[in-house]
Amino acid sequence: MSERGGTRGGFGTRGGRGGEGGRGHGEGFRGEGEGRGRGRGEGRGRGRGRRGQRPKEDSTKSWVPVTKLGRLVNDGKIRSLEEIYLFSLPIKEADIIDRLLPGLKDEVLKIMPVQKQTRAGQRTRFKAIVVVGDNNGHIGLGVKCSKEVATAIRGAIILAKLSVIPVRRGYWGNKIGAPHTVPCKVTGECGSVLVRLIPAPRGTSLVCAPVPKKLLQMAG
Amino acid sequence: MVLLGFLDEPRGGKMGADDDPSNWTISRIGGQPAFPSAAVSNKLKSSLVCAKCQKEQVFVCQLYCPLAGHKYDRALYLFACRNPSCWNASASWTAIRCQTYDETVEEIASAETEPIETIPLSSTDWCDDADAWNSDAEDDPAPKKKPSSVPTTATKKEIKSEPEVMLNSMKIDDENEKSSSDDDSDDEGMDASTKKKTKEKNLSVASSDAFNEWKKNNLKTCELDVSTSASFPFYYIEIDEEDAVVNEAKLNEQKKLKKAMKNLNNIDEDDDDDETAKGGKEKYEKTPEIEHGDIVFYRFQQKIRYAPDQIIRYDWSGSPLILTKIDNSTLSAQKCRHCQSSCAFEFQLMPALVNFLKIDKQIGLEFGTVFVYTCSANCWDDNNDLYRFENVFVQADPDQNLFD
Repeated sequence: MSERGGTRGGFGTRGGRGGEGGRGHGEGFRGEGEGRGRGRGEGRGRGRGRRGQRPKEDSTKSWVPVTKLGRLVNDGKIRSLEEIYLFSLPIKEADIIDRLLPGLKDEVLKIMPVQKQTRAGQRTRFKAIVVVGDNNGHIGLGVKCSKEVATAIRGAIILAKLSVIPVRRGYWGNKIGAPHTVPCKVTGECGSVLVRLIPAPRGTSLVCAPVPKKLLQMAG
Repeated sequence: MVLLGFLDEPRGGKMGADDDPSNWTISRIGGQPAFPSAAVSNKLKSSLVCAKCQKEQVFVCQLYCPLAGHKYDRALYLFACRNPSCWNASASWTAIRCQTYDETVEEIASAETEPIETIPLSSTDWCDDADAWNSDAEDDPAPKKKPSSVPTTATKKEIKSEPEVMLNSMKIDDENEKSSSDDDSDDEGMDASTKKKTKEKNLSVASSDAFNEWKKNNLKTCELDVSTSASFPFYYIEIDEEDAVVNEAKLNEQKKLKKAMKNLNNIDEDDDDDETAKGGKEKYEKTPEIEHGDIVFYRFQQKIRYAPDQIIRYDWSGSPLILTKIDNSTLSAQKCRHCQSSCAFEFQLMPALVNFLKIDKQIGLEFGTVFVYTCSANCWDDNNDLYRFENVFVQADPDQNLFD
């Protein structure tokens, strides 16, 4: 019979990868796979060299879609984000946004440490607030809390991409040229914070505090 | 110990000496199945039809998965129906198990075989209400995973040996450490109220005429020709342990992030008060829920994010990684068709596999994820049996109802 398991070994709890890097106690049980699968062990030894087929670095660069919407975007059947908005389809993969908005930029607005009191002292975590936008009608905000700053930022970028929303722009006066401001006075509230956006003539640019300024600039 | 399967070379790959495709003890997807003997394939031909539409099923994958201490060469085969109306239905899939007795395997004196406890699903909501802070301070509240006891056939050797018991318990601790790693502690506690929100959000989805038009133009599933008996492209499967893959990916990530962090440290120095730097006044808030509201899918993604191209997830008598919310009792209550003993989870197909099941460049088969549950006692009759059926459970893509 040809070599059992082929050169790639098999699944299952026997043998498998028992030979690699003696994992301490695990070897006890899977060691029998070593002795028995002589051919297989060698096969794996040989296999490791040639099994560089799966380049570990690249696997993060090329996107393998997991959802149906992701597959449609990957195949090119959906060409713009507006189609997704039009049918209110939930976007569950951040790579979808990457694919449909190639010019997306992200900016970290703030990283603040937050604390929780535990019996053994204080537990500090970092909360990262990231905004993504393409300066042309799309904006997203992501907030993520994590024990490490880098992880928080990365998580916040992904959450920001998932929450990208289209921005409607209008005119202050005459409808000449491209829209340049908000279509009407809008107000938003969250907690005690009130934000009011008022249309302004072309050329006024943004008159506001630095944080909303960054946000609105990224929105376009 | 979870094993992941990745796509390897197609048949006739770059290297000259390839595994013989007729070798039934290799793991691969596509092509034609390789059975241990011709008798098996002859007998099976008539029974490989879809339970719903009676059409012939297409071969999806075969896995070679012998079990530790088990004196058998064991392989599992999966077949599915290509008919678009049968996608995402558990009844249109068939799983076959073939075993051959193999003298050369030394059977380990088995540790005491403990009854298989029902294991909670990997992304249940029970921990939604738990304070996420606790998971790395105190012990992981998750119930202990059943030790990977050696499965045997009907004759059980009950040799209890101290060192083996200790080895078993050592294994449990490792797995607990793995599950209470940084990844879990990053997940915020999500309220149960998000479940309600999801329902509301689904209602507001446009099922309008415009959408139906768009679906007709773009999805085009009706035009698939299912009459021809085509097969999926042939690929071998490469197998890796999840721990190894995840650790390696984390290391790579850390290197990249270190570079990125250098730029970052310059930015946020401007508006730091002394108080916020110490974090004195900021209280811990629960971050807002994710926009699309599907927590279960988010957890699924978190679990696979270090290896998103995995196509098979193998965890004998472990717990499946669910894609959509499901009651645990539905899955664990399945019984073996032949011996009526309970079924244990063996492996699942991941959604990434759908991209590679293409016929004529079109997607030939769709699913969310597919669980295969096999007999926990591995019932087998050496004299009469050529193959045995196993249970399959299919979960559809979370948004499948929007596309139908």
